[in-house]
Amino acid sequence: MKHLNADELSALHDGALDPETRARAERHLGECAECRAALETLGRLDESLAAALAHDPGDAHFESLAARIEERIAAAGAPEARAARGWLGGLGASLRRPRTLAWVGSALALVVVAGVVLINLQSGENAALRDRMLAQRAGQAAGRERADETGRAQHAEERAGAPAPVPEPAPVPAPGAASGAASAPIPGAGPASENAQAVVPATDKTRASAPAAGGAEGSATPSAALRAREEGGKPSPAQATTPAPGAPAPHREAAPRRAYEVKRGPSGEDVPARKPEGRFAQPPPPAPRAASGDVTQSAKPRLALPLDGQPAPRLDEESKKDLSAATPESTPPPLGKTLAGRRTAELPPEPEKPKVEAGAQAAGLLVCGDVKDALGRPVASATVTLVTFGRGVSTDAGGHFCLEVPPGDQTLSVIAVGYKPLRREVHAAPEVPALALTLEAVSALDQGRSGSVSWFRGPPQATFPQEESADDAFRTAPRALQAAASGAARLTEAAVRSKSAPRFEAAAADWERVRARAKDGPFEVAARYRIAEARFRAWELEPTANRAFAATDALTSFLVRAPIGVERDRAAVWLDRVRR
Amino acid sequence: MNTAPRRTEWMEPGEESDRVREAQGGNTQAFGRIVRCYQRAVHRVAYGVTRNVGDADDVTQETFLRAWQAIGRFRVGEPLYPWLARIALNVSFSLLRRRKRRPETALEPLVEAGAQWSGSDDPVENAAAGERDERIARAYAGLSEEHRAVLALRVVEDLSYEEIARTLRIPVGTVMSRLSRARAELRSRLGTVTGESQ
Repeated sequence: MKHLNADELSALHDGALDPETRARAERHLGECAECRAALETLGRLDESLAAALAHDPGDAHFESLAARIEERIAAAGAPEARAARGWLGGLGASLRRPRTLAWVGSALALVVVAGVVLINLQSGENAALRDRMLAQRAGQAAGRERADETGRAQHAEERAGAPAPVPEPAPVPAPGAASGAASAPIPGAGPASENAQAVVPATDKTRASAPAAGGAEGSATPSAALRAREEGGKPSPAQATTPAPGAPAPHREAAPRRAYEVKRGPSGEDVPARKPEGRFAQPPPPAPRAASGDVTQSAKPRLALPLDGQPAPRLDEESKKDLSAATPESTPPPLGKTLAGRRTAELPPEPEKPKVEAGAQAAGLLVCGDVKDALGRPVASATVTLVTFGRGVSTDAGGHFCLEVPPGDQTLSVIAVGYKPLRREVHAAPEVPALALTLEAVSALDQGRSGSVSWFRGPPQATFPQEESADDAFRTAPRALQAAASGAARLTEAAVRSKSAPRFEAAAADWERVRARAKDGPFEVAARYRIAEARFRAWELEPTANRAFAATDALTSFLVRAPIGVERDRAAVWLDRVRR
Repeated sequence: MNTAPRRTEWMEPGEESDRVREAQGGNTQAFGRIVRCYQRAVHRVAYGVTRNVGDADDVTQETFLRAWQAIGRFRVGEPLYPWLARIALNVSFSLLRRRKRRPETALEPLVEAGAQWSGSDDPVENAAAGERDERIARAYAGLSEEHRAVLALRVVEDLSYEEIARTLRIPVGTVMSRLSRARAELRSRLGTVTGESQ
């Protein structure tokens, strides 16, 4: 005799066997006590599992649950309309599927990576070309300056300015005088070249890069050679510093070396400014900083300006002008120093504008102040917070605090136990005097009315404009409680509108939850009042014995805790009515 | 054998289709009707898995919210409840997974359950019943999600094999074998739990 297997027993128990198998199984059961016992065990197991897993929280619970769900659905807005899903809609929908999204994402990433690789490859090929271009631009820039001075046409340089990266012997030996023209276009070297900053010589050697007298190595760039020839050895102002003729001719790469940063010229040509690193043995330390407008920072300490300097952008301009004015007659190498010196000389310790300090970007200003109570006593351990940044400090025993604040208008929040929270707009500027913040003590008498004392905190009302649904008594409650209370308040409003007893009961159930959350806190009594009110209204609308009992219960439990006030009086009247 | 008394709370198929169609058109009231009709059933599934009224409430809300957002994709004419139950199971399991702990066991439902099912006024007996429920619930909570799902739908919700198959999107044959394995597993765990407690 073959016993029923576990699957069959289980399916038999569930009534899910097909008729034929079932008939066979039942025949077997008739003669097999073992299988009968097993089936019975299954039945008992199911029964006790059902008992253990089932729980019915009751009608009122579901009434309030449904109300909450409806509320959330109303808030969620219309469902995605099926009709609206055409081709695009389908695409959108499939994009919402995580797996599809992942595939699309990886495909996109692949494309991007491929693109980047391609671009890099191309720029690699072009590197040589670019170097050549750089050299050419440098030559042009320098040439233009000179052209300004000498009135020479530029075509010569341009024609000559395209040397191959591979060294070609200079076709013409340079005349004796070394021309540093191509070599030393110092940033802003001429008054006319404010923008065409290019090229700071890296080493003395480069600076001396002009074709040597003999041109024996033939390594100078053709453009330099050409210009040198044209000029007939007339030194340009910028050359003042170039070493004497006859200095060792630079290595072949002289031309590319000369230029490492070129910006857009006045005529609109531009060459990408390139970082010099790697190409230069020793990049000139001060110059790039000066050129990039950081002068403010390097110069300031020398000036010993007080921490309040002037607004960064202004300084920038200033320094640029300064720079261009300064360079022609100055000696190039210690550029930063020169600038600093000039600034010391020229710049009266500037504007007393509230300045945004260099520190502004990094750290911030120090705003200090004292927190006192209404009687002028210092409040220790108050928390002073920078609202937008969430950064905060505590006051010391003397009520004093200092807080780092980014410049501009900021909001400080001050919170202390026993005091009402305070917000204060401050304008963070270096000259701002110490703040005097006065906290208002929480009045113990307030506690009476609604129990709405803000013991610890409470978002100031300014930030939480009263929503019409938020329950007043809970306005200063912690967020979660506030949310729960406003949900319950909405249910109450709905109940009032619909004049439905079950809705009031649902609201009461929701208030019960609020009360549970507010357990033993200052808001518990307020929640109890709401419960009592809702229970009473439910009874009032459709009196039943149960509702009378619930209302009496809720009213009593409120009244035994209630402080003197309107709510208590009202509750007492209601209780009288219910009892009658 | 199990009859299906709870099935009476389901909507008539015709009415259900109408409500679904209206809801697809953005009618919140029609969907509210669906909510009121099925919330108990959804809540039962959620409670069966989470064993906590608060969690079951959250799951129920979330289930209907998701259903509302996806109602446009629901095929009118199919039974609605298996779809809802499927969402509810997914939400419940992901809640538990997120929380990485066993469902809480609150005292009150146990006491109530004891009172409800023991059919006795004897506190000692009630307590014993409560203890038994707790033991079973613990054994159940130790099962895999697959097994818990199939048991909740079958034992708590009393769905037919076809309905379970539709809910879980598995073949009927799989429902049969999975249920039988789930029961066997539950029994063996119950044996272990009992052994421990004695």
